[in-house]
Amino acid sequence: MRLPELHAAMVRAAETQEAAAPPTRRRLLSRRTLIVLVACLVLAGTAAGAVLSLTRSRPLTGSINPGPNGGSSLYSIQVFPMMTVGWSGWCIEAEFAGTAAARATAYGCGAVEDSGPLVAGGDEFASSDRSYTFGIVREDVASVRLPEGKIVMTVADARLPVGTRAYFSPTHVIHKLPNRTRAVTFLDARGRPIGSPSQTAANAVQRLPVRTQLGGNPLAGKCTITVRPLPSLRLLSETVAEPEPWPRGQSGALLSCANATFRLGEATIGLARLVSSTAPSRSAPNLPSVIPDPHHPGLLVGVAVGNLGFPSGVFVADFGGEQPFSATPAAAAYSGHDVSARSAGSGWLVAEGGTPTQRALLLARVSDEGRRPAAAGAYGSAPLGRRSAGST
Amino acid sequence: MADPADETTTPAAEDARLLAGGAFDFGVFYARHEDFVLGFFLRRGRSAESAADMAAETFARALAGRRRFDPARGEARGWLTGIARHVLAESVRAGRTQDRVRRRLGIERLELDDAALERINELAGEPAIDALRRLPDDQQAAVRGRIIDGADYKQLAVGLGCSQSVVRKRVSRGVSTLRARLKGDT
Repeated sequence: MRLPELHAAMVRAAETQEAAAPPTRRRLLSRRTLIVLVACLVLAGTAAGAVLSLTRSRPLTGSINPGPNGGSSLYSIQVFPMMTVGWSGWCIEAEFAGTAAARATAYGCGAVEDSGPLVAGGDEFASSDRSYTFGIVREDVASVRLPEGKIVMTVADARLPVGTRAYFSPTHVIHKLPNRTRAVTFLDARGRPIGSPSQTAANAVQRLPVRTQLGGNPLAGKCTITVRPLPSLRLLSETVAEPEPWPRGQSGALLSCANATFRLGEATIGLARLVSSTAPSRSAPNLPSVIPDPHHPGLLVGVAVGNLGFPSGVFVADFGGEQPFSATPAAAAYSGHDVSARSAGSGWLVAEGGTPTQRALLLARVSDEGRRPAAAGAYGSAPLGRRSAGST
Repeated sequence: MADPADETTTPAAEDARLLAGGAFDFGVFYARHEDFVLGFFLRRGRSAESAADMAAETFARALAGRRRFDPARGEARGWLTGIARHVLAESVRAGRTQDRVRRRLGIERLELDDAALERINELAGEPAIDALRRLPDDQQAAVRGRIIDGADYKQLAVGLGCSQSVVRKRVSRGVSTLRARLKGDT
């Protein structure tokens, strides 16, 4: 659709007109269900040359034919909290795995911009002859209308953030410009457009102030990462933010309030502490895209969802083959690793990089409590660990 | 309920059903015909902004009068074309886009960004339209009014604030330039 705003305005005007109609008619209309609307749309699309069509979103994982590079392709869509300190946000990845030469990945991270219907993604990426669109939406979004008129019904999935649904659909729209973002209309269960709150300079979200320390001197604060010492363990850097309720609440969102990077033997492992973005002292929402680690009881594991260090607001898509981040090579070093996680206090600790055993070792040595007093000594010393633990 | 695969449902009957339905149905009707209505105005030399404004008024009138649509008299596109012609003619006569029904229904005027303008302009791109847009403003207005909108010289003279003879000259020069450019294009 070229003018979704005009479409929405027309629907609103029609609703106003409807509300002024005689009561009998209003009652009749109020009993309409999505199923009826769906049937009407199918009729409309069939009878009038498929100007509109309606389909259910594909699931988060499955196979698709043709895939982005032709032929059948397995695909997977994952979403994970953005772990850059001071932000609340999401990273979302769509990966297609056909033959070795036919892999394709789209990946992007962004802060929670508002409490509107779109939670993450909403992007569309395309090769020369195929295009795909996907996104994570609020759970009251029953369907999305793509600009060409296609309506895609969203799906629920336990792997998604709490309170969200998803859509994924091939669009088969050939774009003049690759990876162009087009307007998508979010619809509720009655097919009514759901508006997004307007963003202005006055209500824009800013990253929380952060402090970074390189080397072994610990940072004091309400949210830090304190690890009991180990001979082979060395702190490389730590970044912290004071966890404050994120000004724009969103269902399931987490706030990253501390990162630390360690050298453990030959491996480099990043740690992040995540808390509820709306009430940091309260129990945090579940982590999406993770499953229990069968080899390390009490831990969760996620495949290729790590994003420590990945820049916010960047979206990369690549249809070129093996290297998914050819557009921004540096980003590859900071993302796409497996993660392990466990609950800690009211939030979560997430370790990225290394092997599952190394991550489990490191997570076992991190204090549950994030608060560290200003009088703490050198990082990694035994007294520090005890003082920190005793401060709870 | 009808079988979705039932091909005996005609577009006119489907449009009639949508126009008789609720707000959501009217949204579907809008989506089915948005390109057609915008294209109608673009093909008559209107800018993207003007085409959007006139499309808004056209759909507002369609909404206000939707119970009057009779599928027995033809498809909705014919009905919409009639409304669009009225909107265009009234706008030419008044010298500005007519928006009476849009305002009465409380539909706010669109604020179009570059992306929206680009989406609308994708519907244009015909050589004659491009050539028309390259004419000087005074000639463009005269050619649009006389050749495309069918206004007479007296109306145009009033609308453009000049004498009828000046309008005739502008139309003549504009058409000559268009002919030359279109020959050159081919």
